[in-house]
Amino acid sequence: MQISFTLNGRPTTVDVEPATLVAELLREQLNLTGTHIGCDTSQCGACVVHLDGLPVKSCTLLAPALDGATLLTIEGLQGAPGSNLMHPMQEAFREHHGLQCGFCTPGMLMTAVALAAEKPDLTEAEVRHGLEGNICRCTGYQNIVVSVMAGAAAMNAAKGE
Amino acid sequence: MGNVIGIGAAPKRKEDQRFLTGRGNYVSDIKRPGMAAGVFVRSPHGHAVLRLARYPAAGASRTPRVFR
Repeated sequence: MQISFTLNGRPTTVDVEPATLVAELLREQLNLTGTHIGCDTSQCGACVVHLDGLPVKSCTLLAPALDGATLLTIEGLQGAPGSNLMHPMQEAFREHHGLQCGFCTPGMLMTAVALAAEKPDLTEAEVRHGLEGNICRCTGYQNIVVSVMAGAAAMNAAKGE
Repeated sequence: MGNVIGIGAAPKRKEDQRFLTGRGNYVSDIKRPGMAAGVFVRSPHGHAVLRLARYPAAGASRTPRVFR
């Protein structure tokens, strides 16, 4: 079947088997391999993307659900629209060492950006609760939480400008 | 800590940019022409004696695009 949606700001039309998962469509058909599949069972969160602005695990979503929707993946996350700048959340992860191997990072970032966008004055407890669906096997989450707090603050500051 | 060099320094990692922007290129991200996936079939029996191995496994050769 043919589906049309907005992918990282660009109108996109693809032919898909109806049983294709969004994570598979992105990685195998559209070559956007920044969205990772860590578990294939919706536990790890490495595949989180934004569907119409909300964070979803793309390994648990069927491609036909994209028809008419707006999808943002890690490849589309950026600072000012159209710029080469990194998003404040990406900058915060780099600054505060919120990653080691980087495999969980795209999902962490997408979840974190959605958390911060939904609630400007995030507490550390809310960040930890919000990241429950994202598993990292390298770190003890300490630096990830610090990064998300800093990234959320930077997003707020950018909004106020 | 800003000007510390060596032990105690907190240098920025060179690899972070690509990990943060979805351009990490992990093994499962790599695609090559004609690339195949490997599957190991292991014995379900501990310390069993192998008397006869049929190769390829029954059914595998009838599946399209299965290599020997």
